[in-house]
Amino acid sequence: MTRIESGSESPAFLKNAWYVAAWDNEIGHALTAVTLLNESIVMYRDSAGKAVALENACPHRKLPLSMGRLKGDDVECGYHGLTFNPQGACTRAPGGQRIPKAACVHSYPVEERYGLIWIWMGEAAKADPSKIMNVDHWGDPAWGLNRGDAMTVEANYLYITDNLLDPSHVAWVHQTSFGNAACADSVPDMTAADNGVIVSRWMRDTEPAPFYQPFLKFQGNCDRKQHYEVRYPSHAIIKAIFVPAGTGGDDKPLHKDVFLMDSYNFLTPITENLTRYYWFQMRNFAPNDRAVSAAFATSVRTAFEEDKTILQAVHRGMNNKKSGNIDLKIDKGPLHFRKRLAQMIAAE
Amino acid sequence: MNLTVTFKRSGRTVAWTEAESLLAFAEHNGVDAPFSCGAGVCGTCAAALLAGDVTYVEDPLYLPDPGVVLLCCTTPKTSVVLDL
Repeated sequence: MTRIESGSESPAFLKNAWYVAAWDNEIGHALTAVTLLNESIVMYRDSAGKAVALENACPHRKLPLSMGRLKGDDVECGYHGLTFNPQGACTRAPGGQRIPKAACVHSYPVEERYGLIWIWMGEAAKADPSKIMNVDHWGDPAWGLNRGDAMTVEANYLYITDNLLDPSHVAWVHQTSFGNAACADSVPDMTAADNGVIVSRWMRDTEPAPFYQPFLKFQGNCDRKQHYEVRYPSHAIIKAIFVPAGTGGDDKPLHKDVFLMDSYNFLTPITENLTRYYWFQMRNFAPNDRAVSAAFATSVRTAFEEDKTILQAVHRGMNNKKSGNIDLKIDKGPLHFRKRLAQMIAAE
Repeated sequence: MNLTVTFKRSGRTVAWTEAESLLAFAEHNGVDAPFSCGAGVCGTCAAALLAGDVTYVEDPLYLPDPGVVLLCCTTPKTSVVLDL
């Protein structure tokens, strides 16, 4: 039987996919070097403000182009002045020599959406912007946005997808925020879809978790749904639903006082051992209340730092294990995700 | 239909009574079977099926090799002989 060990890391990354390269305000009219999927990339905005991403290595002696200069909309290498336009074509060679055919760098397709700069890491001809994950309620005046943030996690991205398909961990990792007693023992359902995996469960007649309590429009106990979904290659939607106890269920309409929060979590592998983690949340209340946005921004950051501490230590532990590790029932969703993603990577 | 489950190494044959899986049934009958996830994820409970046929009541992450069954995900379809 061939199986994916929870400790084994994928040999590569899925390249034909959209990843987040940066928040939109992180890239301006200046050369910025980033590493994504083990590839060094130079990013900047052209004079019209359009984001550009080029292979960060001059084809002559592989000097990073980020060590050169912006000349208008083009990049000039800091060694001999080979100059490349936003499409990656060479527009100037030193000493007036003819431009060699091989003098070009890869230009990565780039799109801006949801305040983020998305980059296509695979074959440019396959880049389809309609495949960027859709964010429900984006721009809906009734919904608020917790403008997100980002952090760098010293862990393989698949330990983070494990975590984002595991609603049970909140009972131990986030005791002061997302967790409550019911999170420890209710069994979630797993659904495998073509585009990812969903692990979800309703918890009935339970106390609201501390993180959400101040924002509920009703008193007393709640029915709570945790919807943990990760889509290939590594983008998660975590939906939290709270309704008055006795009114929840997938077959029932949402109660008028329902609390809804959709957390979008985008993972970009930097290397096998390092991941950039971007996030924001959509909420169905207090759309323009900056204090609410700020409160959530702080609470979410605190909770995600709790995950970061655990996941970095898990990565170190699994990379240095002195005895075998086991898989539990709760690993079904995460391991299904790893298996399917490994198949998709192998098929590229 | 009266089905039996034979645990060959333990030298016992027991009439099948409703249980969530062959793993649970083995445990109820004091037959020690290794397990970890109990959900068809880890493969720890794989055992050789020496005779008979089983039904998968839960989809495992991987199907085992021919002649091997995952005890945590299966119930007997016919009388079975297990290498346990």
